[in-house]
Amino acid sequence: MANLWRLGVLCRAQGGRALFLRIPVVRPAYVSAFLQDQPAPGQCRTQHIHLSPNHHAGSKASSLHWTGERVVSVLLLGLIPAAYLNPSSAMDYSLAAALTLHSHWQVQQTLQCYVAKFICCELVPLLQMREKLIEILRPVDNFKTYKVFVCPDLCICLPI
Amino acid sequence: MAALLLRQVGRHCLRAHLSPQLCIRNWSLPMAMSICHRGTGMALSAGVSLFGLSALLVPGNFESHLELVKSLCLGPSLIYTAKFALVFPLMYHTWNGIRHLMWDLGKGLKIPQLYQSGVAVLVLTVLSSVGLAAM
Repeated sequence: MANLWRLGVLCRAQGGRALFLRIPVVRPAYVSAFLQDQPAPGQCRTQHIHLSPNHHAGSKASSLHWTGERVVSVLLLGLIPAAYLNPSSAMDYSLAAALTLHSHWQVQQTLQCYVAKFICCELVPLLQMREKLIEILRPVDNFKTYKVFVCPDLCICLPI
Repeated sequence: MAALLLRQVGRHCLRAHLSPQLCIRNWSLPMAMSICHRGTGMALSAGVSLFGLSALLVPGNFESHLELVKSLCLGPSLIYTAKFALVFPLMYHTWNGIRHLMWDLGKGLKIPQLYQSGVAVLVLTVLSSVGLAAM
């Protein structure tokens, strides 16, 4: 489960915003069984992303980043009505800056939370499973090589 | 032979990677609202980026585009609907964002408060969207 731990640190180090989304970090049962890991207590491991800046990450930088994100959010919140009431070019520039920064940081956080999880918890186990399949099939028939497709719901082996 | 065996293994895990996420028995309001917050955030981000890109690439300035839309003589209800559709995600994201910031301050984290603030955000969203679209 080293992958899960790493993901947890990754998400928390980014100062995980409050998502009361229980993102189940699933290690599909068939993959665990196949890879002969220690048996998971259930199929889903939920990971709550925490609100406060994480002190366990140990670095001042991530805490500062988290605070910076909040500051930019509050700034943007205040800028929108202010820009409506006092339109000016200075307001335009600051609105553009705050909007860009806020969207960049949040999109980055979203991608790290979902794409990283997908890669570590689905793609990597699938690839590992594929490798194992190839290993298992090798002694079966030394004269043929197998092309292995591992899809989430179907495992296909085709002799080439 | 090996293919058949593996097919059996595969069948057990039909959509296993997605079904826990999507088929969780009880979808809760905070969970759905959190997903919508992220969804609206991504949509707004894409919209703003496209707006900026179009300002760079498409000839003409904002006033000329506005004149173009006015010259189409669309019905007022259609214009109102379009304005409502544009402002609704923005308002939702704004109010829910304030809710997130409240959580970051440590306030309103109990479960009943979660539901109350969630409902409040939804009501405020609808009211503010209706108001802003009418402007």
